[in-house]
Formats: sequence, structure tokens, C-alpha cells
Amino acid sequence: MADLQSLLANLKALDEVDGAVVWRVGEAPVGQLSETVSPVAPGLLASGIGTMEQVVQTVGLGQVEELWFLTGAQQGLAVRLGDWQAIIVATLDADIDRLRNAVTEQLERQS
Amino acid sequence: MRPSEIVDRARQAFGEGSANRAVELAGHVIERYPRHASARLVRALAAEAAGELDQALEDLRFVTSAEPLNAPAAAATARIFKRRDDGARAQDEARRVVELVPDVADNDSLESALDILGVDADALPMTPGVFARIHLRTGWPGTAERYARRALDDEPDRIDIRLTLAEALWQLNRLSLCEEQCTIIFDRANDCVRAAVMLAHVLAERGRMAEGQDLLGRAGEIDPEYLEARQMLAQLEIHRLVLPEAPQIDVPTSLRPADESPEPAPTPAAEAAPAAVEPLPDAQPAETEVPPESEPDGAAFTQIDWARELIRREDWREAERVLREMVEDDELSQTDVDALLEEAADAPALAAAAWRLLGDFRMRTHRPQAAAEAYLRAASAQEAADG
Repeated sequence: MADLQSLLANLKALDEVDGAVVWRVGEAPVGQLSETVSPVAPGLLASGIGTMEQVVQTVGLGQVEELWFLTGAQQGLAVRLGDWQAIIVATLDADIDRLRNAVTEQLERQS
Repeated sequence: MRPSEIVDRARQAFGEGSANRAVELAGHVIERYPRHASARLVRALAAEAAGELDQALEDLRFVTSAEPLNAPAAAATARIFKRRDDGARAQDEARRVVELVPDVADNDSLESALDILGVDADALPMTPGVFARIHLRTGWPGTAERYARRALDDEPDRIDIRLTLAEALWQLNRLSLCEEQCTIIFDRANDCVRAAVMLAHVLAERGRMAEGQDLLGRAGEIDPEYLEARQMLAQLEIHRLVLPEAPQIDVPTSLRPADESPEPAPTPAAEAAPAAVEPLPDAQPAETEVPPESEPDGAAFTQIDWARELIRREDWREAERVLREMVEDDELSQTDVDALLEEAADAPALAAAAWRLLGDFRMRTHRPQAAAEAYLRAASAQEAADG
């Protein structure tokens, strides 16, 4: 749990990141998102990404390593590295390539 | 009739000189509860009076192991050693009786001890052990701890003093240190009821409810009405242990006084329902409720049972805490935890938390799609709760 919390704090501290969710396979997700979203949002995002991973794997496309989404207000990136997974929610103008590298680096430190 | 009522009658009979009747009554309880400490003490006193000293000592050893603070048992042990011309051990036991002041409620025990020591009450030294007991009884556990530690420096093998120290630490809520002392006590007196109650409480506080209840159940073999446990737990603001209902024993007509009418035969309804009992001394109503009827005598009372009991009591905060512990417990059956959380979600006050925990549990058990459904329900329940 201490690892999860420190990883979460590090992700949340990245420039242009508004919120983050992290979890490890076999553990419940923890997250810090905007106060305006539901308290169950970290769980919903994590389980939604997990469902998408299962779908992709079931149709034979392999293991998802990254998922990126864009809304009218924000962009999000989910990254998996081994047993560790993270989702960040960032501003529309955020440099997503830079953030991808930063998130991957953080996850590598945990692995 | 409750076992303690039968033992009271046995004690009364012994006091009136009817040793045979006392032994019969105590034996009736011992037949049902072979480790009943109070009944074994009455039998020991009767054996001592009859000169059967080996038999008496055997029972007394058990009683002093179960109840190291039992002054009458210590006094009887001292008297037996004296009769056997073992002056040194007699004096050791007598000193122990004296140090149980102010627990010694009966003058007989104190007088026996003073007689063996050959001193008047005025001449008794005030040892650190005595001060420890007095401070503990008068609500100064911090001071009691200091005196008990000083007493143990001189006499580290004194289980009664170590028990005083453990109780002081327990009252101070220093549970890890209390646990250490209880473990040492169990090494020397593995039937000690008070140490078992404290340790059961420590385990329950750490979320190991089933182990705590199991340990409490072992104490219940010695004190089936949980009189000591009720008294001790009543001192706490809150505890998680469930104390079983006091048992009843039928008393054969041959053991009843001639002027007492037999108890009426129970009606079918009375047999189906738990026996009505009078409140026990110092019972703590909120925390010492009887367990659900499906768990007579507290047998195999699991963490799941405890969670259900908390939901039944509408103790939402505590129920949520226990449910969260269960979600993080890898030993529990997935089916059981799923079912319990869905059951908990039926209670509107607990719905949002229960669905969220179910989402967490499903994520932990690699079921993201089912987790998403649970989290969505949590969000709906939270919206409903917020109006």
C-alpha cells in the first residue's frame, strides 16, 4: 500500500497531470482525481480499463500496454508494466509523449 | 439453573457443614463442565476438610492456574502445605493471599494466611505487589504498572503479579505489551481466564475475530457464564467480542432442597427460544449481546458472522471497517465475501460503501467487468444517499 501511495503521489506531481489512478494486479486501485468527480471514479476507471484489456485479449489481439483517450476537456492515458498499472488524466494541451515516458519510468521503478 | 447458582448452593452447603451435599452439587456442575473453576474449588475445600489432601491439591492447582488471583484457593493451598509441614511453601502461598488485598473479600482466607504467617494484620508489610493491586483496583493503572514491574524485579515467577501488570497495561490500552505479558502467563498458567480474555480482546482488535472468539470460548470451558469476561470487558468503552448466553443446567430432584418445587417442564416454545436469563453482574448491554441463535455457545463464530451481526445491530461504521478487512483477506472464500457484500448493500445506509468494497474485491480477484458494475452501483447509491 505504501508503494501504491508513493507512486500515486509521484504521478500526481507530474506537470499537466490533473489526476491519477494506480493499482497492482490482485489489489484494489487507489486514486486522486478532481473533487468534482465521483468518489468511486478511480475504481470505475481502473475496472473500465481492466475490462477493455480483457476484451482485447479475448479477441486475440494480445495484452494491452497502453490506452489513450480524449474527451472535450481532457485526455487520459493508461499504461501497464508487468503487474503495475497506472492511469493519468491530463489537460488537453499536455504533451502526452512526455507524460508516457514519465509514467513508464515511474512504473519501472516499482517493478 | 445457571452453573454459578448451583455452585453457590454447594458453597452454602459446605459452609453449613453438609460436605457430601456440597460435593454432589459441585460434582453435578463438573460432570457437565469438567474445567469449571468455582466448582473445582468447592470440591477441593471439601476434600481438604475430609483430609484427602492429594485430591484437594490437584483441584487447587487447576483453580490457581485458571484464576491466579483466587484468594480462597491460595489460602487452601497454604493450609495444606502447612499440614504437610512444608512451612516455606505454606508461607509463600500465605503471603500471596495477603497480597491479594483488597481482592480478599472473605475473612477466612485472610485469617488463614495471617495465622500461617504468624502475624497480625497491622504487621503486614506493604510490598510493591500490594501497592500494584491497590492502585489497579482504585483506577490508577499507570501507577499499578510501575509497582507491578518493581515487584516482578524481585519475584519474576509470581504469576499473580504478572497478571496485575497485564491488566494494568490492558487498561492503559497498551495492547502489544499486554500481549507479551499474557504470553508469559500462559507459559506458566495456561488455563488463566483473565489472560485469555485480554488476549482475545487483543486479537479481536487486530481484526482476528475468529481467533479471539475461539480463545474466549476456551475461557468459557472454565467459566461458562463468562462472569470474569463480562466484568473485564465492561470496563472497556467498546470491544468486538461476542459473549455467549449463560447456559442452564437441569438439577436432579435428589439435589434439590426438600422445600423447592421442581422447575416446570419447558414448553415447546420455550425450548425453541433461547432461555431467558437475568442480566449478569456488570453486563455491558450494547457490547455483550448474545450471538445469533444459529451460533449457540459462540461455536465457530466467524468474521462473516460478526459482520452480519454488526449489520443486524445497524453499527454501520464498524460493519464497514470489518467488511474492508474481509476484502483484504486473501484467505476468505470469494463466494462468501461476494454474498456478504451484496447482502450488506441491501442496507441503504451501507449500500454505497458495500458496492464500492465489492468493486475493490472484484478488482482484487481479477474480475474487472463485474467490478465496474459494482462501482457503478456504488455511484448510484451514493447519489441516492446525497439526495
